[in-house]
Amino acid sequence: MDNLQPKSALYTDYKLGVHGAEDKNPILLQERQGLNMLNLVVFDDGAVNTVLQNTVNLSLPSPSQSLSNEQSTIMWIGPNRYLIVSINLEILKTIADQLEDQYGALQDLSCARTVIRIQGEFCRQIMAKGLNLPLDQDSFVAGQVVLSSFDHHYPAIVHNLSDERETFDIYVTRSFALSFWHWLCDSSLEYGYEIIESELNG
Amino acid sequence: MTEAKRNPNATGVNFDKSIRFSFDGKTYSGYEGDTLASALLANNVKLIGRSFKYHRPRGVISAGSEEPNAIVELGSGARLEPNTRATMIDLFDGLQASSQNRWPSLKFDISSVNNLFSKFLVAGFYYKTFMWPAKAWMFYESIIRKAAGLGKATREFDPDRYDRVNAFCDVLVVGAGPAGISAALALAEQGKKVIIADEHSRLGGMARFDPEQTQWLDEQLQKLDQLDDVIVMPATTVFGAYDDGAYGAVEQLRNSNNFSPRLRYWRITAAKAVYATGALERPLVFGNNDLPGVMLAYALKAYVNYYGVIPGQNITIFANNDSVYSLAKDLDQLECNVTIVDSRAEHELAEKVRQLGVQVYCNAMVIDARGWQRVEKVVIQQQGLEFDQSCDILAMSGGWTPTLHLQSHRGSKPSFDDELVTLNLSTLKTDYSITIGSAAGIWLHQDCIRSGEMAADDESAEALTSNSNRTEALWYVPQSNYKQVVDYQNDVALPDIQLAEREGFRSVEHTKRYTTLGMATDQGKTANVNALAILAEARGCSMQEVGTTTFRPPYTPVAIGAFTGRSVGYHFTPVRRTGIHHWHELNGGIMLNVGQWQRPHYYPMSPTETLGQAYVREMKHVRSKVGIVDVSTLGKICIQGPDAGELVNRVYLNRFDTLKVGKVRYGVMLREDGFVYDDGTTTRIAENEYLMTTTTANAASVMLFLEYLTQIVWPELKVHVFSVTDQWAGIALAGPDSRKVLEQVVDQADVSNEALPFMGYLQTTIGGVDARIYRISFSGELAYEVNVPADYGESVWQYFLDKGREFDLKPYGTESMGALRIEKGHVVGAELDGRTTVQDIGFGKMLENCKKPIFIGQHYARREAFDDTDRPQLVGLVATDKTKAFKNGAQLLAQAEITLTPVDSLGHVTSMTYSPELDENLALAFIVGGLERWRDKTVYAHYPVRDQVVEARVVSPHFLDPQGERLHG
Repeated sequence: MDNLQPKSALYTDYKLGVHGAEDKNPILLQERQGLNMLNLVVFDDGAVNTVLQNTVNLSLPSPSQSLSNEQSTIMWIGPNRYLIVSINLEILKTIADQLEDQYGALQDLSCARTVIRIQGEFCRQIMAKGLNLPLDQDSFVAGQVVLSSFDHHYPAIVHNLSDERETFDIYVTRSFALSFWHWLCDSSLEYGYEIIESELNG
Repeated sequence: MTEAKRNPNATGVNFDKSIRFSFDGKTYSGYEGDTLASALLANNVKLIGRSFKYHRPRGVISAGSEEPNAIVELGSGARLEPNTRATMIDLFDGLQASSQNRWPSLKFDISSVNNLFSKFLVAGFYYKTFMWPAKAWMFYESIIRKAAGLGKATREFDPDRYDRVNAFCDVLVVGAGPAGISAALALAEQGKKVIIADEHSRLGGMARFDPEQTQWLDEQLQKLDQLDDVIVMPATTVFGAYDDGAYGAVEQLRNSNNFSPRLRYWRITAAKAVYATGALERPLVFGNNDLPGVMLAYALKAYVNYYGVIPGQNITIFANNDSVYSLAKDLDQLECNVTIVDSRAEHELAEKVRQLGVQVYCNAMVIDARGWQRVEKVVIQQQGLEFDQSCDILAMSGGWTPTLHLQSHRGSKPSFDDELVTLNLSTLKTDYSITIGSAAGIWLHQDCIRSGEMAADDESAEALTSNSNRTEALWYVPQSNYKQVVDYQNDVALPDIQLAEREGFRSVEHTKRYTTLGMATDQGKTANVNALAILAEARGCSMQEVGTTTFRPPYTPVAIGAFTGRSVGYHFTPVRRTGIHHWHELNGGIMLNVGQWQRPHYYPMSPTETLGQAYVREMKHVRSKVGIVDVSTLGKICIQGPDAGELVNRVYLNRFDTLKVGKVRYGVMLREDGFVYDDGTTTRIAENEYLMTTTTANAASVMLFLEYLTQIVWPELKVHVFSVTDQWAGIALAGPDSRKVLEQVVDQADVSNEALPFMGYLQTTIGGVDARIYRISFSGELAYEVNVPADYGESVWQYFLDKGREFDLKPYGTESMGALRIEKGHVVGAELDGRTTVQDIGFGKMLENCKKPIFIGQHYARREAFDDTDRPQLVGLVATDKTKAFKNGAQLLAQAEITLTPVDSLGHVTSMTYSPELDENLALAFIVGGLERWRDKTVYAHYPVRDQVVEARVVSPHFLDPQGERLHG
């Protein structure tokens, strides 16, 4: 049996190196590949919480928040809707085996989104070019998740991972990912940016 | 040309740093901190432009954004920017500016001959003179436009970058004068997040021009600088106020690197706005009040004290208010010869200034300014006596008008305040804004500061509004014999307004449009109040009765590029790409925009192969061998939950709860009004999971509709819908050899007709990749649709081609895909255009047999009118002449000729193609009465746009394999 390889939505235009204006601390852009991404819809909070505790050792986060451990993150992405992101390749099976249909619906959407990590001092300024949301450090804090669209076009989920290191993960719809990547790179030019090796399962 | 004297104590320029620039090709030097206007004045250049209509010589009149005269072109080539205000351009090394609206030169402008005939070229002249013959107007217009106008835009591509950014704050303070700064500081003390924006590159407003305020200003700016919660935005014009606390602002940026934008458009959302937008000084309307060297008094103060330019030694100041007296003191200290002409009666301030040695004429007026291309003297009238006074600068002040544009954008209407002798707001505070400082008619420095502090406490400063800058109305000088300009930029003079009123244009809005008063880039900032007063006098009514015109955004001109941001060229619109997109591009696929998606239209075999040749070749290949097409763009919606079957059952007209796991069914979806919404196949993946496919065009709307149904209409259903369009790449395999290819690619599965029959479904792996295989056919051939995770789309596609090489597997594009389905008679969006019923497309039986208690469209689909046999119904057309192709949209008539007598259309063509299989030109069409009435009869497809008629025979829409033997094979 052949073993075909996946290709990222960005692979044609993922040019490693420093681009744009010279800066000692350029923005870092990195694609996170090989993540398992599951959309979870909850019909019964209590039952699902139990399943999640048993399987990923996390519970359902409150609105606009996320909960993480070493392997997995659960993000609130709407009323009764969550996105589970994990480096555990068995996560779908593990949860699906325990989750009865009457408690919730689970769908593997690992290929439906491209994940781009953006890190650096000017992250918020760059994202503010596309997101019509308050992104200052008091309004959008570590652990928070926002759903919006960049530049009125690119549907995205933005997860603030760290205020200290100013690190954000942007989950953008795969079919728009390359266009968004071009937009993001172009928006970052004035600050200078570096594309670093993509992180597999990272 | 000698340079003007400079004031070494000026606070706004750095005399240690010289800057070179050019104007009309001649090189000059200025200093860091200069504007183009101040640098030109410093170089004794007073003639800067020509007026719009009469080409009268014009110089700098202001020191701000209201400048109507000193309008220049900036840059050259692709970076040429017309109609920029010299007063707002910060000088930089290498700046290139040139005058506009003149030929052959600024000093000797041929069109200035217009000025000699200006008595005839009054308001409405063109309308009255060039009426005959009516057809000639276009000719006249081209000449008139050449003679009048502003600068010319470049036709080259703009190489600069532009950006759009969103910002949020608790309070937006517009204007960083004393009131705005004090408000920002006080708000920050309360812990508010504040944005303070000012159109000038340096903050301070009028305080910058007053030496007595320098220390205060420096201290406040230092405080602002230290506050983390205050974002200071200099060189940023808040140009518009919109609903829901949204404000538009544009920031001028000096390129710090090659990637920096030139302009940045800010969309600011603020819970509250503090308008500290200041006030504009009004000109006085006397003879030749537009000669270069005549300027607003505050502007002279700015040039002398801030920019350090003393543009003349003999200075006359003409005013009707107190504000000019401090200027007289400043000029006197710089040893200028100063004369004040005050229209008011004797007063204490005049006497005080006289004691400094300044000549003051009270109860006096400047009737005319005189001079050749610059002011050389003025004619003063005092108590009936006229006398000349030499001067090289004439400063004027007709009082002050609060800047109320932003407030007006949100609906506040300014009214005339007789006590303040100016426009003002009846209320300074609304739910979302508060107006402070001189924008609120508060004139004294300390009062402005206090009003800012009060704003932080949400207190209106109405009590501070007063005529402390004692002003007496003087709207024009009646005794003058020369042109008295009211609107500088549009060359509208006193008689124009009076004439407009005499001719019946009594409404201020009509007067504006008839005379062009208040139009163009300055929007009448210096002209409006004087004009309203003149109109009021002409009408014999009060200014309150005249009213005001409507201020609309933008406050000052904003380059279109700023609104566009980076959405130009490549970034004009985003592109949706399938997981196989790159393969198509690499292999010569000609891409077609389908909504935001790009799909391969066809794959030419050679550079000379046309679309028509390519799609016929591709069709033949599919019908005879096997082809592969990227169908990833089809909408894919996963419906999951214990009530999934119930939802699908309610959404489709036909039943789905009886569909077995592992089976596919074609479904028709209706709208609530009974018309067909969309169609597609739905597969039962598992007991409680269905996968619905939609057309590419309707993917998003169907998804939204399902969300609406599950969240609003039937929230009790335990079901959820997921869009999985992006998750799966879709590959359709069609043709007699398609099963052979499939057998080659699947890892282990049995894909025989028995194991995977028509409308069957299979989960397996292909090259180790999870795959879903649906036995469905759009082309009418033996066909399969394969879904694999999108990341594997390209690899699996290539795998198909590699493994299918022995069967001559070839890709085909959307053109041939569409043509294949026409041969088969399948309907798509062209047929399901929102006006068709299930009966119209031949599925009436489906509705008749439907016994479900609930489904969308259940009531209206059974309307009597839907069964009307006169409704247009789907048929096929075959061209009688094989060489003649149909046109989409062609109207069907029973006659070949077009007569002058109107005839009813029988229907229209929806889709057309040439069929290589049948060697016929075919079309799908809707015709009244349908096949029953028209079978084998002749109709004519008229396409009058191309003067084309195609004679056609009406047949069944299923042109090929009507029994479905191929797809069941």
